[in-house]
Amino acid sequence: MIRTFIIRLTYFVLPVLVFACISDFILSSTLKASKTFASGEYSVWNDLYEGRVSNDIVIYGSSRAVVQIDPRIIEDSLKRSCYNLGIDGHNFWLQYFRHKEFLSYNKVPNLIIHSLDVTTLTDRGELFNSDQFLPYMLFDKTIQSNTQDYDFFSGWDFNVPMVRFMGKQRAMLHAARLLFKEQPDAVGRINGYQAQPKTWNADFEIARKKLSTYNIEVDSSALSLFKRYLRECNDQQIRIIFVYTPQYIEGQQFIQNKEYILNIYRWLGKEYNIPFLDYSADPICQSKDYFYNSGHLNKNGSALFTSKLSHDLKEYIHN
Amino acid sequence: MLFNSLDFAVFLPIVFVLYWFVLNDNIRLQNALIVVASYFFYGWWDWRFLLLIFVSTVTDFFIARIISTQVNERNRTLLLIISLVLNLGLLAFFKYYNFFVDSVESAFSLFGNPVDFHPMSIVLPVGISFYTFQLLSYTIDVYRRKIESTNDFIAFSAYISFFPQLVAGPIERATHLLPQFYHKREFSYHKSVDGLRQILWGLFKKIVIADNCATYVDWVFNPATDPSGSTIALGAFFFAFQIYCDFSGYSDIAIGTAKLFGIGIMRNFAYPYFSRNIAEFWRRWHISLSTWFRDYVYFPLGGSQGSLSATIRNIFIVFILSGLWHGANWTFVVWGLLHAVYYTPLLFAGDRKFVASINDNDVPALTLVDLSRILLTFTLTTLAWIFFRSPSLSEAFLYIRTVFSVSLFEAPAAMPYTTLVFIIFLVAIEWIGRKEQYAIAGVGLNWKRGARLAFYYALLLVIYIFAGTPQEFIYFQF
Repeated sequence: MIRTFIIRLTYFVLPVLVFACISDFILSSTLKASKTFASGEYSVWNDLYEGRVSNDIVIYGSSRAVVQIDPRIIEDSLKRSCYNLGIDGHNFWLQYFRHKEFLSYNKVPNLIIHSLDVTTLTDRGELFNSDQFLPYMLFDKTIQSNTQDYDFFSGWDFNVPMVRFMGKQRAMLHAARLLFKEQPDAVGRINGYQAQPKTWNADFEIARKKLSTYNIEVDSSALSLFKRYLRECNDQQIRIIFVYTPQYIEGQQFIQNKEYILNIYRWLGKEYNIPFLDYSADPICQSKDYFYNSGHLNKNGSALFTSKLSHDLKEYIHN
Repeated sequence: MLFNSLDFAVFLPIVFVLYWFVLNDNIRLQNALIVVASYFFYGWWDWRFLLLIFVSTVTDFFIARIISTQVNERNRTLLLIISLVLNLGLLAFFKYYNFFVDSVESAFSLFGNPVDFHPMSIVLPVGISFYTFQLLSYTIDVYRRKIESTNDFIAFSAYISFFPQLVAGPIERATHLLPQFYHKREFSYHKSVDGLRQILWGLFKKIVIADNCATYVDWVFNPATDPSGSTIALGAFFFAFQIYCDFSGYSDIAIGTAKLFGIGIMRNFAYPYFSRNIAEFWRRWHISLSTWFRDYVYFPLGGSQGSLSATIRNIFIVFILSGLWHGANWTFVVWGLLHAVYYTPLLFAGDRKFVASINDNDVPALTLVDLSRILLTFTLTTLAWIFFRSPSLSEAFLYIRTVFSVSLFEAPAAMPYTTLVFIIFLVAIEWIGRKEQYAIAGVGLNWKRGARLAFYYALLLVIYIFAGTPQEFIYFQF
């Protein structure tokens, strides 16, 4: 009797496992083709894992790199190939992971433009936009080891097909649409850059109502990791330039210890002989017309800023 | 370890295979396996508290044995008191110490004499209220000579720690569960299939309904949300289904899992939201707890044998204790009080059988009278859930005030339509299966095998696609 039970149960479970393996393959490969899902990060990961980011200049940072620095303008201005590897919503912990993955699959760049902001050296926080790992993470030990401290994915997500997609209706629906050739019209990333053709929205006013000014806490582990990265780049003869991209002036006043954090970057710059281009007092910061919220330039603002940056970079590129 | 985790999906087959294939010939080894597996199951959450269960188990095992050897009633009573003090003392320390300290501080402040008793940082061991009550039931029943004390420590440990119901019940009785560990269990194909079906249904309730409701409910009852009356009412409605599906889902998985090991554990829910009055609700909701209070508190107090006022007093005591059992907060006390208030008119009307047994054939009919009574009972219990869910009394009263304001007639701030569709599905299936032990117990039994399998696969697919953000079971905190 018990053997019948086990055999029948196995027959019941077996199709589920086969279905899971096939579905995982279809879902992952379909999602990878998405230009818009997971904030468009798939196109960047695809380029990176397929060795298509063999550029002279790469840009690192958070969303403030992604939406504010247009690599095409830098290419035109400096006549060097350029790619934006900024990662939305993440501080240095995942920026460093992307850096390591980038070096594993691509040619070493000549120059890294590292967009720093007040949260670059904070602790990990939550695994923002975790969907960006979905198509790549099955059986991937590197992604597992670099995301395990976020306590978001479990070992099952990395080692059993389809487990990580459980309850992810948006991902499944998006993949189904792609499968039937329904790619949304939205423009995806271009060389990693995401233009934001938006005008000033209510985010800042909402935040101002909810929050008072606050202090940013620098995480000593993040700082150590950052120093290690600077040393590694130095060893590999990769030049780095720090950039503090524009931030709307009233937004800057929210952070009580902004100067303290900028001083850390200035000190690191001196210590490691890295130029620091600080645009926190640039006239762009005075006008809402260039921003869609206090931390992010819109398309026009980013074009204006990248032109300025390109101009300022010339001094370092040609030296 | 959570039932709705893959850890459990691996753990369960391993224990199942060892139990039926390796240790099938030796009942003591089977029991020992249950104990080891149960301790592993519990230790997966926090191994430090294993010692607490072990010490409680050893203590009550020996106290009960000594009680059964005593002929002197005073000695027997003294030993029972020692057991009660030890068990309830541990529960009081872990669960109620800070509540007591806060309440005393508040009381002194109220009279202008502020004191500071320094609350402690105490981690509440998962399931302590459940296994403590199970221990007490054994010792009290031995004291009352309802059962013989056991000489078999392994069987007794298995009774206390049996992993399917260790952390969130059903709270078993020694008279029912313990003897099952004395006898050889026979594998039953039909019972095991039935167990798997019940587990599947429990997972659907927990993962699809409770976890999805939780997202909305957490948002509504977040102090930062500032919801309208209609949003709070909707939040309370979803919480009613969250807590029901969370807890009854857990019970279904527990009962289904026990069936796989040839062990029967008691029913804990019997479609409580189809109750036609509050008395019936308490016959159908958390049956193992309400019958525990009936047998060990209500009856010893005199039950309904005395005057009407004495019965009312007993009902209030039981419901207040039941509220406190759920949590160390005045919100739970008021929740219990509200139910006592709801109950009182029934006592005047002559319904004095507190938590009588359920007759599976006594189910509501599709008539206007029954439906309106069901609706009224559901509304009253949902209103009480607001106290249960609120972090403090002041917030609970604020929510209640807001519900009874004009903003009740505004459109709710958000409406989780998909979850609502699943709730409607649940209610429909439960209505159809309301004479069964669980809603899908009879579904597909007369269908062709292919159709039945298609139903199970469809349910699995729904669970997979519409899984909510994983949450711990609410009753773990009690």
